[in-house]
Amino acid sequence: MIPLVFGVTTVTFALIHLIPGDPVELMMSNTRQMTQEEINRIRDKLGLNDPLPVQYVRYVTNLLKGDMGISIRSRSPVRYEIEQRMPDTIILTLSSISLVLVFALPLGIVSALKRGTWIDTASMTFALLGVSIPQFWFGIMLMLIFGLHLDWLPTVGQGKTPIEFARSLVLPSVALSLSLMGLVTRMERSSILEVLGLDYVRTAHAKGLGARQVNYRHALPNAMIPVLTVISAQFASLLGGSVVIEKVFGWPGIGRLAVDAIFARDYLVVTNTVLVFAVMVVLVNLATDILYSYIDPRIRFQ
Amino acid sequence: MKIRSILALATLVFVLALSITPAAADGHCPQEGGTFTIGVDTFLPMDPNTAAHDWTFYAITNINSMLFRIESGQPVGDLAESWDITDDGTVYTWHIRPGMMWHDGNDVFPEGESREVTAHDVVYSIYRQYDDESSIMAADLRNLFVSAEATDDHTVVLTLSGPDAIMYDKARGLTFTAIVAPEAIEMYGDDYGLNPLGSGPFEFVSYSPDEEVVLRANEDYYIDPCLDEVIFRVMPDVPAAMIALEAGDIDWWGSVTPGDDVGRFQDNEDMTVLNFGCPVATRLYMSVDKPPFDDVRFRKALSHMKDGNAINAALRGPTHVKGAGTAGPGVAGYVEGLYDEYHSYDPELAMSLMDEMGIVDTDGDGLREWDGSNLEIPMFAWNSDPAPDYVAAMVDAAAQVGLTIRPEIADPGTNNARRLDGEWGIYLGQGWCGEGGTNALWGRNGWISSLGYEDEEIFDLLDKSAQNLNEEEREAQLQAATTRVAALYFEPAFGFFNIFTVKNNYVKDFFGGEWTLNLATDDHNVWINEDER
Amino acid sequence: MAQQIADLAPEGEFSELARPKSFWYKAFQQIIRNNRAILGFSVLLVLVLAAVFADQITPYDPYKVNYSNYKQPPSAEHFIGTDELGRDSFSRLIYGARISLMVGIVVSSISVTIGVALGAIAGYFGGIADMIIMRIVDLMQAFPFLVLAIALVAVFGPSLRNMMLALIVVYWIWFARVVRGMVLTLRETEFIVGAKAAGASDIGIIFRHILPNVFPVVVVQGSFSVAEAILIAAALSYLGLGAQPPTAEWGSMLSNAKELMRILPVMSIAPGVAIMVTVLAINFIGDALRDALDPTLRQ
Repeated sequence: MIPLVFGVTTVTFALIHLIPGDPVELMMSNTRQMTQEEINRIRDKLGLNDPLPVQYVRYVTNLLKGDMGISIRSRSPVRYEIEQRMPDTIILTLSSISLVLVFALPLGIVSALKRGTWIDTASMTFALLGVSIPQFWFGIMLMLIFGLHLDWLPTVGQGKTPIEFARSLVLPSVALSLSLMGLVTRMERSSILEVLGLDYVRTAHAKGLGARQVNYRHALPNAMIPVLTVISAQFASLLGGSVVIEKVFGWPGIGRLAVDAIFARDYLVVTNTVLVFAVMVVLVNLATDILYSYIDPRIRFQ
Repeated sequence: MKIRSILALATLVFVLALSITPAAADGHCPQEGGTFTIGVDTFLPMDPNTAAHDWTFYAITNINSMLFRIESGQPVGDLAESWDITDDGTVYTWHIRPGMMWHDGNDVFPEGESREVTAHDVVYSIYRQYDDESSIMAADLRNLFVSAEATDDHTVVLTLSGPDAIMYDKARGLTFTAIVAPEAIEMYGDDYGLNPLGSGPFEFVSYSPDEEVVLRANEDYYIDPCLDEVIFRVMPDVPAAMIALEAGDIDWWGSVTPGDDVGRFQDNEDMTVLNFGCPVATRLYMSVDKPPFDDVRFRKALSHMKDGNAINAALRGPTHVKGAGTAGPGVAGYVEGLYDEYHSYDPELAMSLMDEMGIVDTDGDGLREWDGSNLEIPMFAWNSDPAPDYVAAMVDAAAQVGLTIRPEIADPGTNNARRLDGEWGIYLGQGWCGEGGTNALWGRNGWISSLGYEDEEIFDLLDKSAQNLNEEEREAQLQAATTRVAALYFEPAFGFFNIFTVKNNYVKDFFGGEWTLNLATDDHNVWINEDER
Repeated sequence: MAQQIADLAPEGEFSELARPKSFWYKAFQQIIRNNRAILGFSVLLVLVLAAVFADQITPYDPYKVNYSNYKQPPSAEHFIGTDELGRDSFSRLIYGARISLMVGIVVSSISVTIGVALGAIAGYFGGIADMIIMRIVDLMQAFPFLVLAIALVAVFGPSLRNMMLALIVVYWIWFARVVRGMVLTLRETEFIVGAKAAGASDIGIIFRHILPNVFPVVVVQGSFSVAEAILIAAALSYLGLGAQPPTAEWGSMLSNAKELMRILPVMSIAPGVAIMVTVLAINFIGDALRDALDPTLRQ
């Protein structure tokens, strides 16, 4: 895990410095009117004129001391910037995953058990639509319909009170969860179908267990494993996918921070957010493995 | 200042007489309390040394006192009640308003334990900007700076080595200098921007990055703000922000409003469109030090081959203003008629100029050749609206006269890097508003100097105007510089656009942001009419 | 999304040595009996025809600006109106099919090729090759997909070609992983061990025995990845990192239409619907292919 995280950090550091463009100039050119002379002075002061290896060594030594450095754009500690946004992204991600669990899972199960009926057709069409609609576009449409025309929900930002916060979470979560919903519904359906076709389920049937019992005791738990895999694998891409959604809905998360930082050439912010992403992905994979062994004791760590 | 106040009072009485809502008995706030929510597209920590966005300064100028504010384009008193300037323009004496207190009830000054803001704090704040080489203090002020000292608790003397005519200009000179508390800088150090502390009309409450900043009224301020609370809400997606504005989720959109929305809001009875008062030019720059751009005929051809005015009108909608030059209408140095003289649509002229230069189509494919092959010019632009549309329009216009333009659109960082490298081609560019902007752009070491824009005569005119305190002479020098830029570079112009901001009508006595955001001043005290909300 | 389905591809059921002709015949039969597949193919065919013959069927030149006729609402002359430069949106929409389909097909076929080749090498030969390839795969998987793609496009410089390049760089690893997994299992099967013992060359075994077995799964996943590449490309273009204006591309049309959303909602709706229909059609086909080709689902 440590070499992996180290590799990710190094690659990101190199990558972000390969991008042409100067952070100081970018920061200033929006509204401030600065001559080249002024820009060079600031660059110098911020250590951006040092050779890259020097900057890299400085970054790594600081990181080992727990210091992520200073953001060029905001001039506040990168650690602060990340800590401030971390909970927002996690909440958004978790709320999307819960939407998936609440809606997509039952849909997939029903679909499989009622295979071939109109319920199956309808939910499979929904699922396919889910993976076929561009997320950002869906977000904009949601905003137009529910935020503006119907005026049911706030369009952007976060509410302050718990109720308002929950309300403001609805549209971005729905937009973000859409494709995962589609994916999980499909996955759940096919893995249940697969499990139902397996020997031990047939055996259970043969032993005279009722269909309902077979389904709930044997088929469902086993069909959960692939779904869990999907969700855990998707966790990384949910984090990354929240980039666009966070941008559209003005959600102050870490994905948006990363992308804004790439465009602002805010080198240390990019490197450190990607580092945090990588650690999270690794941790989620670890957690999934542990969950596996709970659901299916036959699976053990190698 | 007296006459100003009387005038202001007269205006206020007149306005109140006209207004339907009866004023409160004391004539102060028709309605007290209320939260003013301001939408902005970006926001950064609020250290005046490093904050690089106007919107951030909107908050800073309410948390911190400034020496002066800008209202209707003119400097008005804030922390400095008044000031005198010597005739040679090198010594400023600022008279600090007595009785201004630092915000209390925080880690630095516990409730009731605040102290008065003195001249020494002002000197401290000026030197903090001057000593920190990475601060955003403008170079022209930095270069002229000699000293700042407090002669007593309420007098600051600022000495410059020469006169500075853009002391009050938007985003140049002293307009950057917010007065900070030395105790707060000591306590927070580099984190001061996350915990700003000042003596302005509003106190800092909280800051969540990329989300919002909350300020509350400072009851110890020498004016009682009508508003209870001011919130800056960050909305990076402009169309989403427009929806929020219309839905009343934000009361004022403080960043630039796209042209189409301006048109819609102008028709909306519940909204008011406010003019920032500083039109911005859209034009082309080019690598003038490289052929064929070094030939004035080619620059002229580029300028005349497109219908800049029509393109600008289509792309800027109701914000479009016809014109050309380094300064827009209403800004010092504006020259009337520059567009018609240097940039009018005349493809015939453009073609004959190129013919004259020998840039002609010899192989009959309809495309002009130069140096043995088809002339294909890269056009660099950044990737946010409406820049790419200007590129599309140029591609189309060039095709009409047998030229090929290759779009090279990239994110702003990459686009800047190309300009800094002076890559061969043409660049879409936007001007800056105000005379400080004219200086930073076309002056020595200016923003586009890497492309070879170097002309001693222009430098000279701008240098002189920047130090000329005689307004008429300065205007003449700026106009001469502007005309010289047009005649020499033909910097192909499209036109200007107005920066409009939009507020909901229930926000009263509010006239938009200039470079300072004035929510509670001698003349205006913003309030919210909750009955109309 | 496709890649996660791929992650779960079966690793065990490759007993047939070379698939009999009847396998493909049966699959074909099954596909043409599938209504959705037929619908998908028909829609795709229309899109492909539209893309190929765009020059002939569009009523207007998609790049021709017209300042006297901009931001028009839908009308008989302009089915979905004109944009901010007076260009006909419908013509641009049709040209957009070209770019989207091209991106989807090019990105997925190149990444499939690279992924299959490297996956097969890693799985078959093992050792150092395997270690290096899998380290790269692990490393790239730790990156958030979209953030990496965005950073890569920023490094290369935003353009249609560079966006495709960036997508390929992040895409091939999924195929490499799947194929490696399958090859690892295949390598131990009797028929390959037998072939080896009979003195068949490694290259021969890979081409004659391994790739044919891997092929059906790759086709299925490849078809899903076409759909996904189109979606991601649209998102990147929306962020201004893909096809650059004035190119008529759906994602950048959407980002253009953003500003006009309130006065000309049709400009925001139409390209989104176009993307959705295209992706849906491809997913229909992918589903049918999976049902027909994936051994685990054949019953």
